[in-house]
Amino acid sequence: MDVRVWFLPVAVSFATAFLHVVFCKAGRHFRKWLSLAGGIAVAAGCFYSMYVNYMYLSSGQVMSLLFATLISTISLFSVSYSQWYNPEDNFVYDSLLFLFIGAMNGVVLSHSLIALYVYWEIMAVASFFLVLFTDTEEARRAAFKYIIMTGAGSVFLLFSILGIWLIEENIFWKHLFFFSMLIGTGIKAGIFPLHTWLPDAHPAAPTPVSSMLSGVMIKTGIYAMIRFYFVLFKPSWSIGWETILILIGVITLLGGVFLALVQHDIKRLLAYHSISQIGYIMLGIACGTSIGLVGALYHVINHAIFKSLLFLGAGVLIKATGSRELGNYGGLARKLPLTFGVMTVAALSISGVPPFNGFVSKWLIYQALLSKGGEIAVVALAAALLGSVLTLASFIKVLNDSFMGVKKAEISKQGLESSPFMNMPMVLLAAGCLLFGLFPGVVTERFLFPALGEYVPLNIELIKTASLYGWLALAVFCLLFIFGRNWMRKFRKTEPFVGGEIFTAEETAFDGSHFYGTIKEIGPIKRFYSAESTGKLDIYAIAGKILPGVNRVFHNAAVRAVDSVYARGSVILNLAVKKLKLLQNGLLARYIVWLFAGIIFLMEVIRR
Amino acid sequence: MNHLIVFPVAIYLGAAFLLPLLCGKNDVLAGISGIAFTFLSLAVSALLGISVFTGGRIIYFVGGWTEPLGIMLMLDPLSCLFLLLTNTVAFIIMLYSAVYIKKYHRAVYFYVLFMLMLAGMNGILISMDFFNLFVFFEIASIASFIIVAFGLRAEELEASLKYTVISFIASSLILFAIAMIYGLTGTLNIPAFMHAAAHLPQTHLWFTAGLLLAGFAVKAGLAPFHAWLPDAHSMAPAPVSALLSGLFIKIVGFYAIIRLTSNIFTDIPQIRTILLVFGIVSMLLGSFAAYGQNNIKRMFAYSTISQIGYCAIGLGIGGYLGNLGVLMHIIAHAFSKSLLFLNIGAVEYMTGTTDSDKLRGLNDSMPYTTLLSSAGMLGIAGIPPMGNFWSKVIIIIAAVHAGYGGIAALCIIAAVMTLGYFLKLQRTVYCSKKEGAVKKEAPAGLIAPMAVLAFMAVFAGILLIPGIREPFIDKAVDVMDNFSYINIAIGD
Repeated sequence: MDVRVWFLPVAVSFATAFLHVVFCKAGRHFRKWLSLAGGIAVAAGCFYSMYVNYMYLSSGQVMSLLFATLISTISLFSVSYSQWYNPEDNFVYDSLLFLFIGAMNGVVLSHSLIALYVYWEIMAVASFFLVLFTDTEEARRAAFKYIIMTGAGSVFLLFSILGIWLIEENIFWKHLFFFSMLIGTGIKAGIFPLHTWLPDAHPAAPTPVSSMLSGVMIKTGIYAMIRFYFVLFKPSWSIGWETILILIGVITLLGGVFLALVQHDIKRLLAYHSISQIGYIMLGIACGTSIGLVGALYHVINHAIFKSLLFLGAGVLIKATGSRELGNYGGLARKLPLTFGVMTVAALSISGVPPFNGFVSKWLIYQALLSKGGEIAVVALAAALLGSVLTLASFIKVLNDSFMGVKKAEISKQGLESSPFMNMPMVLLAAGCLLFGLFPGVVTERFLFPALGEYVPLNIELIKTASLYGWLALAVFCLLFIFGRNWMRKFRKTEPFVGGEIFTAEETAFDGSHFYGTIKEIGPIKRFYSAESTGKLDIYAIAGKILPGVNRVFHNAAVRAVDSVYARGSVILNLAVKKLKLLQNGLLARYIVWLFAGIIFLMEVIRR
Repeated sequence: MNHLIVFPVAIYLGAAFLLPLLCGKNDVLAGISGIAFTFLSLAVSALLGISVFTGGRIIYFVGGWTEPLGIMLMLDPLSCLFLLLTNTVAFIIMLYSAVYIKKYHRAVYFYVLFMLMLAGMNGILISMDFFNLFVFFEIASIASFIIVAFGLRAEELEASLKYTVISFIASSLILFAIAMIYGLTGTLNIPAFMHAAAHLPQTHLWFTAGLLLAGFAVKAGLAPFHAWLPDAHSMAPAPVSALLSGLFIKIVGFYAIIRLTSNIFTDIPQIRTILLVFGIVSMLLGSFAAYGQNNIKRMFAYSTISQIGYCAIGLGIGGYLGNLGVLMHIIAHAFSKSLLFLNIGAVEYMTGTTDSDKLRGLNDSMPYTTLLSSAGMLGIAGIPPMGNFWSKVIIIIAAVHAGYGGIAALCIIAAVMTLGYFLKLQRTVYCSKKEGAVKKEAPAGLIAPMAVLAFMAVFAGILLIPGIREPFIDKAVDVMDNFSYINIAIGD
């Protein structure tokens, strides 16, 4: 392995961040190209590193490099997009962005856990400032919540990193540190009871940052979890934890998607979908088999692609209408055809519709659950299928509300989709959605299998079956496109009417948010929603209620202890100083007496 | 190349005689030539340093006369490290003095004495026989007696007198030991003595070692031999205090103790016990006594005692870590303590006092000086990433490794106390508020040398990076670990 290029992505990102600070007075034009060059250099560094090192790497290093490449590529798209999205911003934004990218690359490229932890913290701080960047009231609250929760997660992670050498000593330590690792990485990844920073931070952040937070940053939590779970703990070490992981996966998956269904803020909705997709990844990891790991890794890649694409598309909508409310959109398909196209592709991908990439990875995870066997896996499988359906339902709402129906909002500017900084990333990501869905055999064989290590590479035919479905679906789409057009023309189009009375389009239009609002009223789910809306499920709010009391008790005890030590200590110190002053009284004779006392002592000791 | 070895001494001795002849009453010319001479010596030491650290030790016979009659000089990585340190810091202090000494009359004599001190210190570093060692020791000491009293005020004269008396007791102890050595072995050349000493009764060696140790411990300012130090260091002109505290006690006192312990009396382990005891006493006494001082210079002087205690503890523990800690601590402390003395000198230069009760709000009147003082104080207190932090950590780790957990705890307590009195000083003197403070910064000629020292104090830890440590300090540590003068064959 060529070590010199290993940390190239990290070094290049930090250097770019530094250059942004150095040229803080430079104009927007210069900054734009500097950012783009930096982003390309980071991604190129990853690809170069892959090209140079790939043959000589151990499986863990391949996984690191995979994540780094993913992070750098998605970041490049986000960086490019933010040049269009935030044209007024100063150097702080770009600098933070590259600090963030470098730290994420550092997390996944670190050789040691301590280095991982250091980069983890840099990442947390950089992303905190990025969430805070708009500096609205909402952003401040979200950023504060984010840094508190992620800080708590870091403490748990650090705890398990420092104690990891103990896990082979004693089963108790093993359980303790596994729990601590799960909390530490889970907060970052957004698994269900710990997810609550995510729906606040994602909407508050600038959109390109949201796409990076959701697309790649939460994946660093997954990366750390995979590393800990598969390398240090070994997946089959405890049946109990395996069950818990599967349950966490199910709860995360369903909880995320149910909460997403009723959202009307587009970024919040996407954030809940991120949680739900993390649930799929968790299921893959929880299986602990090679097919589960491949499914999880594949879903990490796919989710990064389509979720960042969705956020970028949402950014266009926000830019166009100046609002995040789905209710304020509508009929934008004609104005924003490109966004409509790529959002549709991404929505189909995330819902797992062949031939797009979400289908393949979900299919692998279903296969993993099937081969796992047992009641719990079957339940999980059913939940995963249900989650997929609900995801599709949710995205039909999004597409309908924003692109179909009646035009509700005036588009603020013309020529919104003309900038290559913005449309190139979206088109490339959409192409990625299709390519990763059509050629899963290549992806898994060339990239994912080397990362498996001791887990035996699975039968490639299994994956090729998935791509078969994809090609089939593509063929069906094409046939529909060719023959359906003529068929569609046979329909008669007229104004909507009821009983002979003609209504305007505005009157007949319905709002998707209201349509889905009925879900809130369904029996047991109702309580879940009401608990969520009152903050009873928010671990942050719960901790906020309990911790101040605990803190007060400890604080009082500590203050009292320190006070008494300080009071006694200062008395002793003053006494000692006073006595010492008597010794140094300025009389030469006294000094000489000491000197000889010293010599006598010295001779006494040396004589022995 | 080998002839260069005499130059660090010869340049300064020559300068001491040439300066009054060349400059007369012209103080500016004296300052410039003083800087030129120190720079020349620094350049020579750098050349010697390159030669020693790449090619190994240099042994030189003055005038080509070989032993037992000739004068043998040696420069190995350990002494060369000290030589570089001395000449670097001396050069910076000299830059400072050239501005500072305007306070005094007849500056040329100041330079003469300064040069003599440096000649003596450099001489000690290259000497290879006890008699030369003693001669250079006396040259440095006598020059320092006079320079402490340079201001001619009553308390300065008193301090100088005490210093002289105690120092002469130390000299007589050393002279007595040298007489014993000559009487017992008939030689004063150190390798020759080592060969002869192999056949001597242990008691004789013990006594000799004890006398030498006591004599040098007085110079190093180890408690209970420290009594002269707070007076002398606080009364001398600021650049001299910096030189005394930063370098003098370490070269004249501690370097000799290192040689005695590590290279000469290697089979007397009691010396290390004594050093541990003296080190702990100095460390604690210095840091406690520093609390009670109103005179800031006096406080710094007590702090020096405390820090030399750390060095003694490190040497007493020994081993690779202990020795590395000692060398690092000497280097880092030389930078930060000279910085502090120069700093308080700048305060005295502008305000005329060093009394911590009278000085207030220096941050408003002298912002740069305050900034540099905090660099020095945080450095000595051992706040990361300052150089002293690493050295203290290494000494503490060495203590723990050697099984002296209690000593490690005491070291930490003393470090906290050091931080305590320096923070108190920062709070009351530097960062307090004073009504009607006027901005009156020290001249740039005083600030610039301090800034250089502050830079070195902050970044001294760089010396521990393996790529720099291995060819540099590790070689000096290796001398402390494995070298004995007996390895130098007679007639070499």
